[in-house]
Amino acid sequence: MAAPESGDGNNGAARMVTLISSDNTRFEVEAAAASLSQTLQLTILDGGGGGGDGIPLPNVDSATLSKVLEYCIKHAPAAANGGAPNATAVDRAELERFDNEFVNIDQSVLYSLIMAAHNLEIEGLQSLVAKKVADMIKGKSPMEIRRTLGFPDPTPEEQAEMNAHMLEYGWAYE
Amino acid sequence: MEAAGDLDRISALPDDLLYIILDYLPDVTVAARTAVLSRRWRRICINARCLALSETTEMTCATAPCRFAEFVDWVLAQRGDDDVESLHISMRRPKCASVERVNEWIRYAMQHVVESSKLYMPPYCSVNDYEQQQEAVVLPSHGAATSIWMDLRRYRLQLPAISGAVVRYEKLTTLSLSVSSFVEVGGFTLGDFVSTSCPRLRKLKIEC
Repeated sequence: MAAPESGDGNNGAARMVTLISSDNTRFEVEAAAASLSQTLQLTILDGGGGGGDGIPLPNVDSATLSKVLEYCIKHAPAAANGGAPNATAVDRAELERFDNEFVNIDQSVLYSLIMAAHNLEIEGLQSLVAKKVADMIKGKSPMEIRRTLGFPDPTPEEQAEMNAHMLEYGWAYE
Repeated sequence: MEAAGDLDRISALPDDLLYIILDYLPDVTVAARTAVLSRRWRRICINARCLALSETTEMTCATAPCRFAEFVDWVLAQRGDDDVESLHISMRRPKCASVERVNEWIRYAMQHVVESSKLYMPPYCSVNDYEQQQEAVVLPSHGAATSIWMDLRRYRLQLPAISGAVVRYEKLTTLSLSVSSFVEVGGFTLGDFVSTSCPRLRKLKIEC
């Protein structure tokens, strides 16, 4: 891993920041990538996260954080260009391909990711995962959704309420 | 993370995130499939920022009584007085909702929808069903939406009467009305309505 860049990084090497996961793993990443997080952006603008300090993220474990950073690193150049203006169709297609593959993961990781994206305010990532979860729901029956999303068994009280609701509005769930 | 604990993770997501997920499931009849799974999801679905209620059944007028209108009533009643960003109601079988019911929906929409309000009802069920088209639905005197789209060619549309409250559609920029004809009350014409009640109107489409 490269030595932390303490200066502004105006010449050559990009400025790096260090993020520390809940399980105390340190991640060194370009400031531009970490700044996709609205939450981190201000700290970084204030000069935080450089040198040996690091920014602690007590709500994000290392497995999730490494995934989050994978997304940020891939999306940082496009974000720096203000998104669309300079992006070619090829670039956009490549990002789309990346996104599709990126969310093709275990559901438990999806939920951790969307929570992290929410806490860190990374809008693009949050939308990406939300859309994926919605796609898992589309066109499925209640029982299939229950299986897909791994819902817990309802309490007897909830079951009775659901049955009553189904009797009345069951057609909507066909 | 333990595997067993992961199963219920979606239920552990905060409401904000469930709303964001639902933004990608705009049709409440799809979203409602998740609603039956738990009380919390049902509450979330009903209170989503955008509501699209569309009748998906392929059944014709003659078969099975339509529950769709009841479902719409139920959803709107559950929401109570909260504003909604957009409300789209689309029916397939017009006979299943009475003119009173359609009026209730229009009233609700004009009062609570802040952005886009859409209401669609097919003109008739079958060729034998032309006669009833003289019934009129009523446009309330106030509307909060920026966009109103009504395709109700089954009905006439009664414009608000000038004798009542001042007619204001303050934020309306897009208006599209397809009805069988207009009913003007107390000398307040469609032209008056468009030119005096809708100061921000930019797009207008009238079909009758």
